[in-house]
Amino acid sequence: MRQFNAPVLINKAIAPNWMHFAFEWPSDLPAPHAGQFFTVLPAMVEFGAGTILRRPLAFAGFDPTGQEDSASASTGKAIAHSIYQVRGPGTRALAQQVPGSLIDVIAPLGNSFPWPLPKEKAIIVGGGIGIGPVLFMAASLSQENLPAFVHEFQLVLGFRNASLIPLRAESADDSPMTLLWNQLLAKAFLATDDGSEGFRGTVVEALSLLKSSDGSSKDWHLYGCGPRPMLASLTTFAKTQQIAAHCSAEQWMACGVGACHGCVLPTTSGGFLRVCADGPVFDANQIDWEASLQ
Amino acid sequence: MNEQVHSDIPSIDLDLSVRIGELIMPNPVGVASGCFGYGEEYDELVHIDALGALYTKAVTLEPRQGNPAPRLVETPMGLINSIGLANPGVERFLQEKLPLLRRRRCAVIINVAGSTEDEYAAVLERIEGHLSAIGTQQEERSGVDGYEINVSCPNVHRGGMSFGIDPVLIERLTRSLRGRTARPLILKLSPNVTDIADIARAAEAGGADAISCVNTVVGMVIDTEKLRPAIARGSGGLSGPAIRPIGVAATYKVSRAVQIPVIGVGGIARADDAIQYLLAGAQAIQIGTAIFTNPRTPHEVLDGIVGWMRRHAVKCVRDIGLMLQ
Repeated sequence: MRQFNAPVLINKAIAPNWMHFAFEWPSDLPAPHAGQFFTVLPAMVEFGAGTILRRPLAFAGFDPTGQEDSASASTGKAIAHSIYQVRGPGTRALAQQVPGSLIDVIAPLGNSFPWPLPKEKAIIVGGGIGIGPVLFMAASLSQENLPAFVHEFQLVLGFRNASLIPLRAESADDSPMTLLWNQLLAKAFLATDDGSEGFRGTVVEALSLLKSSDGSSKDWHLYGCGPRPMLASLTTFAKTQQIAAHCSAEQWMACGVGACHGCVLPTTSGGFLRVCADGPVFDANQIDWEASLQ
Repeated sequence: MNEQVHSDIPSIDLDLSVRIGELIMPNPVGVASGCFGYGEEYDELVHIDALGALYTKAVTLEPRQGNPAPRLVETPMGLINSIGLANPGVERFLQEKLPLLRRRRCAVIINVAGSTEDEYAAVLERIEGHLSAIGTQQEERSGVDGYEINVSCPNVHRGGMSFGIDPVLIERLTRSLRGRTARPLILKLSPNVTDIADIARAAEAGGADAISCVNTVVGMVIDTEKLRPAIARGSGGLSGPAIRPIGVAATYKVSRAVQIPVIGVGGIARADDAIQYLLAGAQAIQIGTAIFTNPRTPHEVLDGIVGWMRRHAVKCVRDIGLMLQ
């Protein structure tokens, strides 16, 4: 991990209140993995808000060759990508950060999704703003230089309604990462709560349907990121089906490096685990998701 | 490693050293308990050996899981926490954390917490016993340069702050611990008392070497949609720049009530904040919450203190407190 000032390359809306954020990655820093996160310190802009904490954001993609948009030539510098939701003074301040400005970043932080075993088929499930890490996981498994078995995965994405499906807005940028995300979205199984697009219902209801019609002889391995109620029902589904599941969790954070013990979640064995340092990716059975909803 | 490299000795022509009991700290800037773990978490981001002191996360006799989540809520220029002294307990501290602390070149102060007087005493006895048993070669560090006694944690049912509000209990506890160690004993006090000077005098009477002034201020945030407090335990401890004036006022008062050194802590995020504490009478300072905002803060504050001393032609950091008019 390192603290550095990174040039902001992209900070653009891709759905109502959802932003695509990209910054230059130091050439000598190891690449981030799907599931890992970073913290940023946006310049404070709102009188009275007085935010002092860094904001943790998950990586949604990584481009080691570096091309911030199709119009410009490759910079040769790596680029880290994220998708965040504007929902408070910290993220509102971040949304004001213009491309070309510098932002204080600490990265990479936390652990990452484990890879599927050769006998497993990855089922990558994202809900709402949780799609960032799962798009990164799907992109990672799609890389050409990997063993063929990892390429057999299914991406399942859930949204409240069709208008919240990102990357379709007129304003969405045309960076190579956005194009890659769009390719992944086109292949994903989509579910919406109101049925305005794709399957009508939750992603977990969609999984039941997919499981019954899955022709693959492989065991499923679930990878999830999304709202905690979704992770709770995903874990219940995994237990019922007796399949492996890893979930990436979110929690309020102060230090982001494991020092303060502020961002804990309750475990099924009675203690707590730190989301920033023990996670954010957990074996789904480790966390007491129901208790975490209290 | 940090992009900005700091030399271990920021300034050879200035005297930045601070004395707490028999301990000499190389400079007045420390990192506050609870904000820096046992040092290893921030190793890749902060050049810890360039600092004056590392105050560890609290150590209790038994392991503690801590309080239910959520434990944090941000407030204007502040942070409320209710961690509940989560720590591995003194045995695992000695086995797992102390070996790394012995390699530090800055002063290492072990923060100790307990529910009863006996529990505080047992933690100290266990650490002292361990240090005697392993022994230290010449030039080798013990990893324990002193103790900071936490009698001011607002986030536990028993012990912590319930000690810190009663001068009689404070004097008795301090005397009991004084009998168990020759190392510097620092009492960390709560601002949530009628008169913090009374508590500080009691600690001095009991044999304390210094006072850390102050711990967090009790505070609460209510979620107006969920209709309940934002953190699981209801109220917690407010820290950050919001409490700096409270800490400066307490430091001013305490440093005039006792002869022993005062270590100023509460809301320091910039060098100017630290200098306010030093002018108010603190001999040293600690930085806590601002590390979360920017891990470089302790180094920036130290550099800023050095710059301020040069501009004001002050040769010795211990003289700053005499300059207040």
